[in-house]
Amino acid sequence: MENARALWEKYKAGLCSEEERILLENWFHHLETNHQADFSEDDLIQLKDEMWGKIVKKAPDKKLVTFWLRAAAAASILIACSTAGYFVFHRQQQPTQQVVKNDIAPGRNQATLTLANGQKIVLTKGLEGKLAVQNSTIISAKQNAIIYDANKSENQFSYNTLTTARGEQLPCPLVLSDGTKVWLNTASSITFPTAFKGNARIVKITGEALFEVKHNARQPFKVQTVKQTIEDIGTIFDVNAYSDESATRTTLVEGRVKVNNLTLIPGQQTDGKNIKTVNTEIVTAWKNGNFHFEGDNIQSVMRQLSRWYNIDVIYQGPVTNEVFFADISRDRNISAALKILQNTKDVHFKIEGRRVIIIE
Amino acid sequence: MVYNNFTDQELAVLLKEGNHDAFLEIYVRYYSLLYIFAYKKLNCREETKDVIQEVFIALWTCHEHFSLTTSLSAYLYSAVRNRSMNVFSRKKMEDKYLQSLQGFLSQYEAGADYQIREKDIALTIEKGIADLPCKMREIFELSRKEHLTYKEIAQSLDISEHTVSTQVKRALKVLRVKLGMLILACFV
Repeated sequence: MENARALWEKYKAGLCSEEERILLENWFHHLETNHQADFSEDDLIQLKDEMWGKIVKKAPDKKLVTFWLRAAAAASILIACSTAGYFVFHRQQQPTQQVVKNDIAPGRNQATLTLANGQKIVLTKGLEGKLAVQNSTIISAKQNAIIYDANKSENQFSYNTLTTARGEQLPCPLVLSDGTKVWLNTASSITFPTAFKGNARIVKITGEALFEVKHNARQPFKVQTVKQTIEDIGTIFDVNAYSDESATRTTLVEGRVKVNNLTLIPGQQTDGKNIKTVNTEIVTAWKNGNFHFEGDNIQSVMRQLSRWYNIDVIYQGPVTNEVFFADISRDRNISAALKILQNTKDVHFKIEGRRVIIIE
Repeated sequence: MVYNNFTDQELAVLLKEGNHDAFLEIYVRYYSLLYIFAYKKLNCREETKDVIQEVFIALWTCHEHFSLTTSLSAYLYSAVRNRSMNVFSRKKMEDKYLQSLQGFLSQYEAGADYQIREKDIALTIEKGIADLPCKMREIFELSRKEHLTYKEIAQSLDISEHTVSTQVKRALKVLRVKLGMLILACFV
C-alpha cells in the first residue's frame, strides 16, 4: 500500500511526473468500484431533469438574462400589489351591495364537430357510441372521450374541425388518431387530420387548448397558431392563442417543447420571444373548471369572463390599475364571480342583459 | 432548430459561439453515459451528480475559450475523470481505492505504454451505451447513426476502413461547401 499512498500524495500535491500521471489515469480508466450500474429509464430521465435544473441555474442562456432581470422587477411589483390587495381585502369585510338584479348562467359543456363534408355533430356530455366514419377512421364517443380510431393501412385522410363557441367548452378530451389528447377551452377550435400520414403531425388551433402528446420522434407533433408554431418533444403543454390577447403564450407543464427557436423546460412560458417561469396550475386551471387570477389586471380578468359567460364588457369611467388574485369556479353564475372580484378590490359591476358594466 | 442531427464537432463550434441549444444537445447526448461512467468509479449517486453538473457548468462558463483538440467525447471524458479524481483527493483516500491502485502498480512494467488513447475512450463511451436501459439504448443508437466511426461503418458494411474514409471525406467536402462550416467525424 505504501507505493500507492506515496503516489497518490504526490498526485494530490501536483508533483507527479508525466509518466506517473499517465499511470494514474490508466488506473482510473480501469477502476470499477461498482460493476452494476443498471439504472432504469425513469432513473436516468429524472437525473437528466434534476441535473439540468442545477446546471442552467449556474449556466444560464445569456440571451434570457436581461429578460429575467425585467421579470424579477415585474415580480417584485406584483408582490407589492398582492400585499396591498391583501390589506384592501381585509379592510373591506363589510356587507357588499347587491351586484345584480338579473344574472348570467355559466357556459355549457358542448362543442361542435365539423366533418370533411361539412356535416356538423353537436357533442355533449355523456354522449356514447359511434358518431361518424371519415375515410376509414372511426369516430366514437366513449368513456368520457371523443376518440379517432384510424386504420393504419389506409392512406386517405381528411380534415375535421372541433369548435367551441363563446360560452361553451369541450365536455371531454378529444383523442386524436395517434393517441394524443386535446382539451379545448371556450371560444376555441382545432383543425386536425382524421389520420396522421407523412413525416409530421400538424394541427391548427385558435383560442386555447391543452395538449398531452403521444411522443413519436419520427413523426413530430406540431401545433400551428397565427403567431407561433409549437413543436413537441414529448409533452403536456397549453397554448393560448386568443386573438384578443396581446400575445400567443405557450406554457410547458411536462416534457419539452420548442416554440420558434426556444426550447422550454417544465414551468416555463413563452410568447415566442421571451421565456418566463409561471405556475402551470394557474395556466391550466380552466381544464379543471376554474378561473385562477394571479396578478391579472381587470381587462385580462374580464376577457376571460366574457368568453365563458358570453358577455360584452363596458368600462365606464377610468379603468382601475389594480391587479386581481382569486380562485373562482366556472360552474357558478357570473354574479358569484363578480362578487368575489368586488370584495377584493375597489371595483363595481352592473349587469344589463348580456352586458357587464364596470364602474370604478 | 433541431440539433440532434448535428455531429459533435458541429455542436462544439456552435457551443463556442454561445449557442445554448447546442449546449443542451451536448448535455442530452452525453449526460447518461458520463453519469454511468463516473458512477462506476465513485459509487455514490450524489457525488456523481455533483461531478456531472460541475463538468457541464464549466463547459458553458468557458465556452468562449472552448477549443477541441480531440473529440468532444474525449474532452468530456477527461473533464469527468479530473473532477472524479478531485473527489478522491478531497476525501481521505479510501483504502479500497488504495488497494486497487496498489494492485495496479504491482503489475506495472517500466517502459510499457500506459497512455489512454482516443480509441480507448471511444470504447469506454461506447461500452457505456450497453449499460443504458434497453429503450434508451435504441434511441441513443438511432440518434447517433450519423456519427458512427469509420471503423464501425466499415464493420457493419463489411468494407475496408480506407474505403469508408475516402467516401466520407468526399461526402464531407460536399457538405462543407453546402454548410460553409467545418465538419469532421467524431472519432477520426
